[in-house]
Amino acid sequence: MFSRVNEFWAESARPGWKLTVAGTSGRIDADSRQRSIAALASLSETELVDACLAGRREAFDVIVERHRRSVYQLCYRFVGNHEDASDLSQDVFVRAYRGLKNFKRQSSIGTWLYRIGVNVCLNRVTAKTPLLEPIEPERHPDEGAADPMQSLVQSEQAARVRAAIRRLPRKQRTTLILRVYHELPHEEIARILGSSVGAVKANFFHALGNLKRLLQSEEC
Amino acid sequence: MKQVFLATMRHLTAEQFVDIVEGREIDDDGTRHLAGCAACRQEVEALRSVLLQANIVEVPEPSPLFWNHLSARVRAAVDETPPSRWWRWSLARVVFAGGAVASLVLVLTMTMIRRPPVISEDAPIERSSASGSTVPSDQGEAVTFDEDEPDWAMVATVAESFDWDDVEAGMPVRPGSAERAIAQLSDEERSELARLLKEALGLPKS
Ligand SMILES: [Zn+2]
Repeated sequence: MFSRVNEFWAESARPGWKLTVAGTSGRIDADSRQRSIAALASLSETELVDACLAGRREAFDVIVERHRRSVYQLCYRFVGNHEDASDLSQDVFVRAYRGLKNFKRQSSIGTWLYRIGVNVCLNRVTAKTPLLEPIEPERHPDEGAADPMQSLVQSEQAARVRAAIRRLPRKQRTTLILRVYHELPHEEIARILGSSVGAVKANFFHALGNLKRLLQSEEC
Repeated sequence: MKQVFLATMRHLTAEQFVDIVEGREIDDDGTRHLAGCAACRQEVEALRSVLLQANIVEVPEPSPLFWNHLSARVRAAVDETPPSRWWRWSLARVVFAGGAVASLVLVLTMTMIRRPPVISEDAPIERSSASGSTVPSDQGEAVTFDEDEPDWAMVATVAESFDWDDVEAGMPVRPGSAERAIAQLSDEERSELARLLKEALGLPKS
């Protein structure tokens, strides 16, 4: 495995590196970086982690590229806006990079990133989000929809559901997000949350029950 | 008879409700109970309904340019992250093997002549709090990074001062790098470096 990593190392350590004046770091130009990323793209996740640990910085770019959508979507589910979701996504990857040596390969990189993401998002949500938020319609209803009125109703419903989800207790909310929107198996959610499959199912059941009550109370 | 039968049976458990709503089969007792219990059937329908409602919530798709922008942001943030200890140390070995150690010894000797170090065996080196952070491992426990071991912290401090991209690219370290590294050390760090080098060179400690 390391021989493959070394091949890629040799591949990238060619001219194309350039040095700058004293006091600043050397920079690899964008083309070289892209070539290097393309060469790494065929590696498995384990090999990418090995490459990162061997000092191949671009290997982490490939990890980011593979997981940025799911990490962003997870963050968006927690905070409900693009700006915060972007910041949190960045935070998740930076923490992952710093902690890569702690990745024990007992789960997939994706599961590990979800775990970091959940921690980061819950900390942020606890710090920033008020307990009760006004329920507002979606900002961007589907303008291309055949029936604008139906689209508006749907976006209002979606906003109501999103607000209700944010009122769920943390574990229930996390379980619901990971199960419904990321379609993770209960076993994987249990690994992320450090609990049992039974506890995850119970959380999910209570999340759905509470969501139902919250939505009913909004309708009244 | 039927009422007695129902009364002796418990309603479905949370786990059974989830299994049914998600389309998995439950055991025969549960299936029989569901067939005879209107309350549980009603609960199943309510859960299915709320699940359908939850499913309408989509994450708005960001601009197609956003993904590369996010990657670039992460890259920039990671590049600002000081390399962790294992990485600095592996690179430090390259530097030291490449001859920088000779330069360090020379500078150190000059430094020691100018200002005799106070050797303190147990003086820990203060690290920036930014270097410690807690990231969950994939094993379930939170892991605190330990960057406080004085020996490695010392090497890391020196290693940080080099232009690692030069080293990565197989370029020789620029003249004066070691001197600049030494100049940036605090008195305490300088003392620790002196101790380490003396130890490595087999010189007496005082
Ligand atoms: Zn029942």
